[in-house]
This record gives sequence, C-alpha cells and structure tokens, in this order.
Amino acid sequence: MESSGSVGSRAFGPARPAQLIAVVLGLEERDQLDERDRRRLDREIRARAQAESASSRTELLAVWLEAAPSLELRARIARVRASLSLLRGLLAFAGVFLGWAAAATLLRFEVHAGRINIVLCVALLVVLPFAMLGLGCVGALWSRRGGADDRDREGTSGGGWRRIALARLAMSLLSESVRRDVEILLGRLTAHSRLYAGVQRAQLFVWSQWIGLAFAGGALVATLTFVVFTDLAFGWSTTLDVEAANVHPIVSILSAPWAAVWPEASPSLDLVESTRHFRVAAEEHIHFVDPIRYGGWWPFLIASMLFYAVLPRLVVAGLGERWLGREVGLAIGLSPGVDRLLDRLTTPVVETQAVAPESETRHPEAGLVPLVSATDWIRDCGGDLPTVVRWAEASDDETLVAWLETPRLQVRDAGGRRTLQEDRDLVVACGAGEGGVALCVRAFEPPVLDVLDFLAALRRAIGRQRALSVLLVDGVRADHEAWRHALMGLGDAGLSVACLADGGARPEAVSGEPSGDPPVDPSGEHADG
Amino acid sequence: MADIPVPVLAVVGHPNKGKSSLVATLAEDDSVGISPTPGTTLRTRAYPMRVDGQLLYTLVDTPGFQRARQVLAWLEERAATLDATAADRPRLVAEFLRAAGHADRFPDECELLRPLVTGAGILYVVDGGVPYGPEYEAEMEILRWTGRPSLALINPIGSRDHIADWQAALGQFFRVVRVVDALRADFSTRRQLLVAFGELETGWHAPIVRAVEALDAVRSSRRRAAAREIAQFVGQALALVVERRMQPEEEAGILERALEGEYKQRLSQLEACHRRAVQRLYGHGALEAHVRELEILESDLFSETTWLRFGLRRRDLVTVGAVGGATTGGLVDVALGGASFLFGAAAGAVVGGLLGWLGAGRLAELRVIDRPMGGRLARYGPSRNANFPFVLYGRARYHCGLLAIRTHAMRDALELDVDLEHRLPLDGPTRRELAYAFGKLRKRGLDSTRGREALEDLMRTTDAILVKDEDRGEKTRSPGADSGHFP
Repeated sequence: MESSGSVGSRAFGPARPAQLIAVVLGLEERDQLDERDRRRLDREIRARAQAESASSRTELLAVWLEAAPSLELRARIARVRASLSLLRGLLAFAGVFLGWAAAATLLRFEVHAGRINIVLCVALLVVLPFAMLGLGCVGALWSRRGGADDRDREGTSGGGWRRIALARLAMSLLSESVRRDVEILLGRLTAHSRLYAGVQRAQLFVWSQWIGLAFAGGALVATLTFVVFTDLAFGWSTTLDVEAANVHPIVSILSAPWAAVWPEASPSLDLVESTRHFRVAAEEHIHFVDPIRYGGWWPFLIASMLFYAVLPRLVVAGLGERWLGREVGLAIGLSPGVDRLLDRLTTPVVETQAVAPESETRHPEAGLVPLVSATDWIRDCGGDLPTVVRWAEASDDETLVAWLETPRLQVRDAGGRRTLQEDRDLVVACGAGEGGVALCVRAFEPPVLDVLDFLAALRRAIGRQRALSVLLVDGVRADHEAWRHALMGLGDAGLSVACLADGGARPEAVSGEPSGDPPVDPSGEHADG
Repeated sequence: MADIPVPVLAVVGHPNKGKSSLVATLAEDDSVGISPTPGTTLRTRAYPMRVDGQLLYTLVDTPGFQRARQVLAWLEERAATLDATAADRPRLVAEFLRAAGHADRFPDECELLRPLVTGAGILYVVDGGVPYGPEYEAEMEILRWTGRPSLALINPIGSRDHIADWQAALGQFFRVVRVVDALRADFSTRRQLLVAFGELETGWHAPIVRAVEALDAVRSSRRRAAAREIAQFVGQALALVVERRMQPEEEAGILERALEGEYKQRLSQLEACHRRAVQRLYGHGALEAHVRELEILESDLFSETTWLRFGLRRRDLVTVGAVGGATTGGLVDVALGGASFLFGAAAGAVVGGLLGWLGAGRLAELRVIDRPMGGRLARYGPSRNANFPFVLYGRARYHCGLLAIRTHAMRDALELDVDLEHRLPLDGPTRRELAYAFGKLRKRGLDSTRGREALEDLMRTTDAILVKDEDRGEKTRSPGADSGHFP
C-alpha cells in the first residue's frame, strides 16, 4: 500500500513559474469542493499516476497538474502562461529596442562631431552592462543568503505590487477573467508574501538578465548594422597627458581573451596612436591618416560586446533560470495545501461507516414493576409453600443455594439446557400446585423473550390470584431496572420483582414508583443491543 | 478484484453483550446506537468498508437472540421430521426463515440469521465480565447449524473475571476465540481482529489484507495531519500579537493588563480551533460538546501547574539563563586578561539566572511604539518565553494522544489522569530538536520559506513523537491493563 513517506523530500524538482501558478490555481479550484469529493477525485488521479509509474512528489504533482484542472481552469492556466510569455517577449523587445537605441545613439557619426569616441562606446556598451551584471549577481547572492528574508516581509509582495499605480493601471487594462486570475495570484502572493519572496527575487533577477541580454543583443546587432552599412570612424580623446603607449596595455588586457583566435580584434599600438583625436587639429590630422584606419576599432568593439556583455549575460541568465527553477520547486513543495494534496494522492479513501441511517430501535416499556424485598415476598406468601423456579441454573451462590434449600421452598429448574417440553411440564405442575411462584433469574443477563414467554405461560397456568414474582439475583441497579422495564411489557399487574442482592434475602432497593429516567451506568461502559 | 468474494461478517450474540460497541469501534462510526437497555437493536445494519470506492468487506450489526431455544427446537424437530443429516442443517436454517409466521414470532432471530444464510461469517460476541450460562448453548448450536465460518469474541465488559470459563465453553463451538475489549480496542487489536477475519474463509484473505493496509495508511495519514495541525498551532501562537492605539494620557501599565487578557483570549480561541480540527481528523467531530469537560485542558492555560506539567521547570530556565550569563561574563574576563578575577562570569551568571527566573513566569512583553504619523501603539507579544511553546505543544500533544486511542464506542467525555508529567516524556535530543524548531519559527514566522521549512521539521518531529505516544498508549491498554488512559 502506498504512503506519502515514499514521495521523498519536501522540495520539488526544478519547476517553471507557470507550474507554480498552475498549482496555485488548481488548489484554489480544489478548495471549492468538499473534502469527500476532493479525496475521491485526487485518488482517481493517483490511479492514473500509478499507471504511469509516477511515484516521486514531482512526478505525482506533474500527473495531478495534467489531470486535475477543469477545462475552464486549463484555459485560464493557458492564458496565464500566454501572459507570462507575452511579458517575456515584451521585456525582450524592450531590451532589444533600448540596446539598439543606445548603440545607434553612440554610433551616429556626424562629420562636425569629429570621431566616435571608442572609450565612450566601450564604457556604455561593455563596461556598464558588465558592472550592472556584477552588481546584480552580488545582490542576488546576498538575498539568497537570507539577509533579505526579514527585510522583505513587506517588500516585493503582491500587495506591494498592487499598490503601485502602474500596476493598478495595468490591471485595469486586463480582461475580466485574466484580472480575476491575477487577483487570485496576487492574493496568494500577499497572503504568503514571505514564502514566495524567493521566487519573486529569482524571477526578477531572471527577467533582469533577459532584459540585459536583449539589450546587449540589440546593441550588438545595431553595431554590426552600422559597421556594415555606414562608414564609422572611431577615435579616442582625452585632455589628460596620456600617451598611446599607456592606453595600449589596457586595450591589450581587455582583448586578451580573444587575441589568439581573432588577432584583428586586438588593437595594435599603431592603431591606438593613429586614432587619437584632437578636435583642434582635426582638419590637418585627417590628411595624414588613412580613413580606413579609423574603422579599425570595430572588431575590438564587437568582440568586447560579445565577450563582456552577451556571453556573461547568457551564462548568468542560465544560472538564474536554474535558481528560479529551484526556488519555484521549493515554493511548490512548501505551498500551503500541497502537503494535503500529496496526502490525498497517497492515502486511500477509506469508508467504514454505515450508509443507511440507524433504523428504529426498541424502546423500553414505560414504568417499572414494583420492587419488593425477598423477605417481604416470603411473608406475603402467607405460609403457602412457594415454588421457586431457577431459570438457566441461576446463580450457584452459596447463600442463595442455602436459602433455596429451605424446607418450605420447592425448587424447580427451567430454561438453560432444559427442553421446551420440560418447561411446559413444569408450567403445568406449577398450575396444579398452590402458593406463589417465583422465577429466579440472573439479573446481569438481559430479559430475553424466552424468559418472558415462560413467565406469561406461568401466569396463565397459576391464575391471577396466586402470587408471581421474579427474583433477581446478582447484577447492578441498571440490570434490575432493565428487568423491571421489560416485565412491565407483560401487562401483569400482579407481578412483582424481588431482589436477592449479594445472594441474601436483603432487599437492594424498594421502590414502587417508576423512575422514569433510563438507567445510567456511571462508568460510561455499557453494552448494547 | 471482481472475482474475489467480498467478506461479510455478521456480529451476533445475546442481547446487550457489546455487539454494537464492537461495530462502532471497528467501523469508527459514532452513529451506532449504543444503549444500556438490552434488545434495543431491531434491524440489521450494514457497515460496508470501501477503499477508493471498492467494497472490501461488510460488517453487519444484528439484534440479539431472544428465543434461541424455541428456534433450535423448531430446527431439531424439522430435522427429525425430514430425517435430515448434518449437511442439510444450513438448508433447514434457510427454511426456518421462510416458514410462515416466523418473521412475526421470531423477528430478531430472522434478522440475525438472514445474513448468515446469504453467506456471512459469524462474529459471536459474549461478555467475559459475567459468568458463562447454559442459555448460550442454544444460540451457539443454531450458529453451528448455519455452517458458516465463525469466530467468537469475548468482550469483557467491566471485569475480566470469567474469561477462562468462556474460553473453555466457546472453544467447543468455535475454532477461533479472541478476547477484545470492544470499548477500548486499540488500533493493533482491531487490526489483528481484521486479519483473523481474513483467515475464516478461503478467498477472504486478499480483500482483508488490502483493507488492513488501507487502514494502516489512513492511520499514518491521520497522524501526519494531526502533527501538521499541532505544528501550525504552535507556529501561529508564537506569532500572536495584540495591538492597540494608545490615548495620549493613557498609561502603559494599565493597558498591559487589558492587552494581556485579550492575548490570552485569542490564544484560547486559537487552541479551541486547533482542537476542533484535530477532533475532526480523528472522526470525533461530535465530541465537541464534551471537550469543555476536559479539566486539565480547560484549566487556565497560564497556570503555574500547567506550565510545570508540560514545559520546562523554572529551575531549568534559571540554569540556562545562568550558564548563558556566565559565558558572556567569561568573555569579558578573557578580554581583561583575567584581571577581573572572574567577576564578569559570576555577575553574568547572577544576572542571567535572575532573568531566567523572572522570565519564566512572564508570558510576553508590552512594547510601546511611537508611530511615524504621531501617536503611540501598544503591542503585546509575541511571547519570547522559552516555556511557552513547550506548554502549548504538550497540551496539543496530550489532547491528540487522547483522541488517537479513543474508540467510537466511547460515548463519555474524555478522561484525564491527574499525574501527567511522567506520561509525556521527551528525551534530551527530541527536546533540543523541538527547541530549535520553536526558535526558528519564532524568528522566521510561518510565512517564509525558512519558516515553512521549520514548520515541516516540527511536523516531522511531532509525527515521530506521536508514533511513540500511540505505541505507549497501546501498550498501556494491552490486555491486563485496565486504565485505558493515554498513554
């Protein structure tokens, strides 16, 4: 039999944010059902998972996500997925646009402006993105260490997002159904803001990497376009007293990674010297240098962008995706409701209770047959030889046996192992005799109809004038009351009940008044029907 | 599974011997009518056991025998008339049911024999607390005539004085005789009984084994869910805070009493809510009205006795405080190169011990916060008392333990022992594990990744503790032990 102990650790495998959203929405939908239906449906999914040999938490949840959502929810999840894709696309487009725009702005060559400042190009298109990347990584590492855990209590929560005016505006632009889904998500994010903070941080980090990558890509494409279709003239300038020999080592260090495979992208000292630009001497200077030389910086620029902007972004974006996957997996595993879901999936639905309601029950007769003491009963017999019938060999208590051996008493046996014919013979004999008759029964045994039938037969045989009594042996008060209730059902006004408590002729309780209340077992332990 | 016969077990016997109690316990059904008045059950009632919708066995509660000797006499007379052999006896029992007038004359016998004629097994229940009597022999003989597989069960109501006599008598009629207290049968006893059912007839083994496995899984699942409830309750209680805006002239001291009262009230509500959830898990939702009778659990959550019973002792807290203080003071001594003559350590121990002593009786602290937009806010909680989560945890654990061993035949209020301290032992490593989890929950709250991880850890620890509690409870309630109390 399966058990949830077999489903492994609390964390899920790497997952996509869309899966977390699907889990959240799926659990929301399940919460609309009552527990019984939830269990039944999830167990049906478990059967399907078993058919697919899915046993780990991740596999089980994957099967559940495939099977559980309704058609309507599937459409909603698809919309959410599409929205996420659209958002990524928009971010990528924005990044590409900004990259293109930045490169285009930097590379726009106008004769009156002199040369394109290669230092500025490298600073803005290579160094700045690289520095941003480094800062982003440091921030991400710091937040992963948990330093931001407490700070983010009110931080990037759904509530925080909703308070942003721009977000409110964006929400108002959404369709009704999408807005509802977003509200659910943000509501959950708000309610469990700290739980999902890791996912939010990782998601923001990943998005920032993709924007950075798109920016670098856009800038690269723009640069290449300008290189191919325009005549770029790079140069470098400085007011400081810096020689080309001092600049060249810096350039050489920057281009070291690709110098071996692409020597043209590693500027020579000659190129550095020849492309130094002085605006004052611009007109004279241009006549001494081949214009082609001014374009000699482009391989260096392209290689720098590739190596310091695009490649690191690509690597970090990939690592960020892995981080996001782990955070989402952890969040799914710790999401409220997921543990219950797994429990439903792995624990069988067991029903043991009765389907039909309790049928009618037999109610005790109202009222109680009066209880008298055994001594009173003997006295009332007025010297007649009373007959005592022991039912089912009632009690072998020594005191009782001694009492029954009183010469005045005729002791007979009935019930138990005796046949019905023997009982009938005894009834006839009692009818032929004189004096009262007492039926001695064990009070702890219930008054079954077999005894009551015998009593009724006895009454018919001895007539109404002769005394008929039931002697209760042993038992507790509740047993005695059960007998007195049952004997009321005979409708025999002359019937009395005597109690031989503790095996003697001592009355346990004498009460001719019906108690009305059902007997109560103070121990709380009672048997039943 | 379609080919496998579905076992049906009819619980039969003399009236008022615990048949319905046994059914209520086995079926975990509170709706079973249990009455001290004999013969109240008039009709059979089926309790199908389904796993994922598949029927694995059915228990049938029946009325008790009322005219057993008359039924046996009819059967014997009929057998003599037809010169029937032993092989014909089951057919004669079926004939008895069809005979004219029997449904009116023998309604109880007809009800109880009908499932047997249609293939049910026999679970014959007697009371081991009263002496054996010859009137039972007719019943057992009738059951033997049905030819159905049978098992006798001695249910000691009240005392166990006559079990040996019953075993000797029942052994002559039944192949299997078991002693099971229907009122207090623990899970392993019920499990063993089910396994015994499976051995009664060929083909019953497989469905019964599957049923037992499912019950095992449900038990574990229920315990895990209870552990989750307990962990969440403690986590929520640790984060509990009550706040109130202060009037300009209002004094913090006066407000503290009011906030403390509110804090306690909210905590009690939280605990009541948690208890209801755990009761529902164990199928004792109907017990809600009785829970108020729990003297210990309803006693003041903040009484010194309760704190001592479930939590750390004040002595322990003083020791912990003193050691911490001495360590801090010792660092000062080291920094001074021993010039302080260990005065730092001594002073630290005294201060730490004093704080531990004072802190032991203090639930939480009031803080007055100046608001940025003006005005002051009085905040009571969250509790930093080291004892606090242990007390809450101990109470929740005890309540859960009571429910775990409670059968559905019990209709009285939960009973509690007075001396509980030694009944809820926690070994050192477990206590440290709990202290660590409480600390993490305090620091991180429930709604953070690390807080959720701490909650999961606490849940696992609690699950392991509850397993031990259940085992201990069952050992205490094994045959011969009459206390029936947890653990």
